[in-house]
Parts: sequence; structure tokens; C-alpha cells
Amino acid sequence: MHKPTRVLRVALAAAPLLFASAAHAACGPADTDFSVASALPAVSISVDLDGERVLLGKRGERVPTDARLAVLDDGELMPRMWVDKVDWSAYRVGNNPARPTPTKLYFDPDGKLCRIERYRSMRGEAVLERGYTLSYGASGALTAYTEYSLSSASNPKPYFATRSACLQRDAQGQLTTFIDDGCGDPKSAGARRHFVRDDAGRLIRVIDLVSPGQPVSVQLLDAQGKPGPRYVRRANNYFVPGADTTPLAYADPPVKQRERLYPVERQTLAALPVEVAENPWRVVRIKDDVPLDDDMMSWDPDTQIVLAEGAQSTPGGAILTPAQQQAVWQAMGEHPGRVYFYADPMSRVMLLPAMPAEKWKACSDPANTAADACAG
Amino acid sequence: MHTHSDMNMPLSAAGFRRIWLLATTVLFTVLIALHASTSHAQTFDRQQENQRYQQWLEAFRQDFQTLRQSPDPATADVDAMFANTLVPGSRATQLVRELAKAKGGSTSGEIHFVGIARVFMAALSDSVVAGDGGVYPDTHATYKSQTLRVRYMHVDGGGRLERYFNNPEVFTPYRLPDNGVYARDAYPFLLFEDTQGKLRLGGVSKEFWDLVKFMDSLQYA
Repeated sequence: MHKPTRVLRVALAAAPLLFASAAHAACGPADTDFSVASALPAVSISVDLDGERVLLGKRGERVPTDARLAVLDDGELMPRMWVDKVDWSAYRVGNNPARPTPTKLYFDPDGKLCRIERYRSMRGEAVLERGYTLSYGASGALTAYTEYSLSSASNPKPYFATRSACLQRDAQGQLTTFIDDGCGDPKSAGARRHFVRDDAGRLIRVIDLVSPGQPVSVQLLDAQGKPGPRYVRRANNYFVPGADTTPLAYADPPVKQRERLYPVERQTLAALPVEVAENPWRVVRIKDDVPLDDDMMSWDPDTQIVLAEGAQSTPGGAILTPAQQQAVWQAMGEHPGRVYFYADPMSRVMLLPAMPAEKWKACSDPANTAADACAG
Repeated sequence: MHTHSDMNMPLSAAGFRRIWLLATTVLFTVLIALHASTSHAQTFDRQQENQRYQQWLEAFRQDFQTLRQSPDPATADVDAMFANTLVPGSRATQLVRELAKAKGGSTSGEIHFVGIARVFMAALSDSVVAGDGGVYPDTHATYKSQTLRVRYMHVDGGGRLERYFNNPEVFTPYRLPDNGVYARDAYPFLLFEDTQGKLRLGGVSKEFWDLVKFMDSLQYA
């Protein structure tokens, strides 16, 4: 048994080394002193990351760069991460001190990018001008990054953080909160996006907040993960005396509107405010066969069903009878985006039913994982 | 995982065997992983191929500079001048002859337009090698004897070229073919002779040349 034992000792001694690469996968905190050089080996890269680039992806695809490492593109639910899609090996150059490269990358033993440095050439010297530090969670997914820039000469700290983003994740590594900037800073508690998942891990709602406790929109997703109804909370853009400007939540019309939107609570229908009194007014519903985005056609009285009308509005607004209020309210619920209030024959606003405050509270609560959180 | 207290306990023969099995399994896994990564690298080493491409580009740029500075570029002996960077008698030498004859920059009002040769050089400089498409199946009698490899090129363009790459009439759609697979209307490519570790350009694909023309047209847009 002597010989195998010796081999065994060597194997056992080597085992921790083999496991070590997995244990050291984490790049370290994103929030750090950027002036401290990385202990990891530097990889020189020929690409200058200042300015727009479209780099070679690992599968040959085109990967647009961005000053942000996680980008929320218009209309997209999930932030787009790009650094891990790039095949950096195509841009690798030898470490030639005579020809400094604009970019240096630092990878951990698992190949995770931990640090990016961007150099500027100043009087023949390469100056570390800005960069990023990245950190990853147990699942290997990006959880935070910080962008640093060179401070002015008078500043005692050589680098200051210009952006700190975080991507909070659940135990499975799925994104729960994305904070584009001001992560971990109580003074600048910034905009964030929450991802609400049901117990099976399926994404059901995406909630945007301008700051903690200030939700502004909720996007629902159907069982296939496709965007469904969207609820927003904002001040109406029907600026007339007497119109309440308190922001109200409502279901965003399915078609992008050029019309002014006027979300109202049920009781507001008793007297709809007008800019100039004594004009003839009416509330109409556009017939269902008129396309929602065809506002030329929807102005045609032939396409409209009159729900309420009056020969003259009063200084207190257009006064609707209880029966008219009921008819209008019902039409608003049954035909969303098709009910208009004409304060005079030449101007109109779209009437939208406001979501009750308690319903909005439940709908926009990231902790609420009920499937029908926004249903009413 | 074994903790320290396990290690301090006397081990039985069976325990030894278990650990021995575990250790060999770990070693095997590592060896398989290493083998997988090296065999992958052998398929197409983008790092190495791009360093070779950069060396070729540097030499080609110098040859092109020599041509432009020669007394009469239109009648210069391109085969001799580009002996190190172009395959003699290839489509690429034809192209370079045409570029030598093409007019250089022009100025209209205060706007300066660069010539097509400069745009071609800019496209090459903005490129990295993305993949290999095997030996180019040339059917033209003149070029049949030349063995040229298809090299798929990724051209950056800083976002200004996406309209070209997304055009369904040019690419059906834009995608990198598998290693060693030759495909048209998929990815811009260049043809290179690769003998004794040296690259010489032998041809420019329609996909790549139309991109150069697109870049040229952007100047006037």
C-alpha cells in the first residue's frame, strides 16, 4: 500500500488547487478603490471602448457596445448585457510597451471579466482615464458594476464612481431588481425596475419606479412571456381649470396615442371640466370597427355613438345626468381607448377609467406575487 | 466535500479507495475539459488568426503606400510590388489595379470625400477575422489552380453599417456559417492563400465589396 499512498497524497494535495478555480470565481466587490491595480493578469485589447462600436460576438453575431454595461433599450423589459457576448480573443494584442493599447481587461480564472481599464495617451504616457469593476453572484451572473473616472488633480481620491449599477438576483440567479445608477447610495435612491415572478419562477410583472416607493408603470406579461396590459401612473395632460392634476393610475391605451389622455375617477363624470364654458359638448364612443390608430376616421361623427351631450357647458363643466355618467363609465370599461369627451366641437380628450388607489398599490407592489394583482 | 476532521481520522482501505476514485474522477474531468478547450481552439483560433491578419494588413498597407507613391500607379507591376501580400494573377491583384486607377479624394465645396481605395483600406482596418469557410470552390478557369481559403470578416462600422447587415436582400440573414462551411449571402468574406504560415489576399467577396461601396455611399448621404 506504500506506493499508492504516496500518489494519493499528491492527488489530495492537488485537489484543493483543482477546486480553487471554482471557489475564486467571484471577481470581488464592484465598489472598490479603483486606483488599486488588479492582481489578475492584464489582457491588452486593441478596441477603444470610447465611442460606439459593434464588436464580434462569440457566435459571430454583431454586439453593439455601450458606455453602460447593462442597458435598458427602449421597449425592452430586460437590460441588455454586452461585455460577456463579445469574443475578446479576436481583439487581443501582445503586451508591447512601445505600443500601448487603449483597453486592458482582467479576467478571473473562470473567464469572468472582472475589470475594464480605458487608457488615454498623454504626452506619450498611457494614463488610466476610466474603467469598470464587475461582480458576479453565486450563479455566475452579473450582479453589479461600477464605472470610475479619473478625478481632477486637486481631488485626494484619484478615481470617483460615475455610475454604480446593480442587478439583484434571486437564489436561481434570475433578475429581481435592476438599478441603473445610484445603487447602494441612500442619498441618490434612483430609478429602478423590479421583476416580479410567480412561485414557478415565471416573470409576471415588470414594475418601474422613479425612486423607492414611487412606482410609475407596471407591465403585465402573459403565460407565454409576451407583454400584455400596461398600467401607468402619471398626471393627466388635460390642462383646464378645475381638472385635478393629481397623478392617477390607469391602463395605458393599447395603441400609442396622439390624443390628450384624461384618466378620471367615477365621480369626476358628474361634471367634466371645460376650458371655456357655454360651448356644446358631447361624450362619444367610437364604433368598434374603426381602427384604434385611425384618428382621422374617429373624428367623423358617423363613426361615433353619442353617450351624452349638452347644448351648453356651465362654468362648472359639462354636467352629466346620473344615467349618462353610468353609460359613459360602462363604455369606458368595455371599450378602452374609444371614449372621447368633446368639450367643444373642435377639441376632445380620451377618457380613461382611473385605477382605484388601493388596486394600484397592490398592482405596483413588487412583493405581491399574485397572478391577478392588477386585475379589477 | 471532506472537512478537516475527516482528514484527521484514520482512513480505512475502503476510504482510501473512495478518495482515490474521487481524485482520479476529478483529474479525468479536468483532462477532458482541457482536451475540449484545446480541440475547440484547433478548430478556429480567433486570437491567432487575427494576429496573423493584422500582420498581413500592416504589410499590405505598406505595399499600397508604395504603389500610390510610385510615378505611375496605373501601370505599376502590381504582382511584383505586392509579392508578399497578394496572390499573383488573382482577383485581388485585379482589384488593386482598379483601385490604383480609381480617382483619389475629391472636394466639393468644403466637404472632402475620400476615394474608394481609402474606404477599402478603412474597411480592412475595421475588420476582424470571425471564422473560416474552407477552400473557396472557384469554377473560373483562370483561378482554378489557386487554393484560397474563405475567411469570414466581422466589420465594426461603429453602428453606421447595421442597415447594410440587416438588409434581407443582401444577407439571408446575416449569420456566421459553421467552421469550414462555405456560404453565400451570410457574412462578408475575403479569400486568402495560406501557405507556410503566410497569408496573401487572393480575392474579395461581393458581400465584402458591396459593404465597401455602402461605406463609400455614406460619405454622400
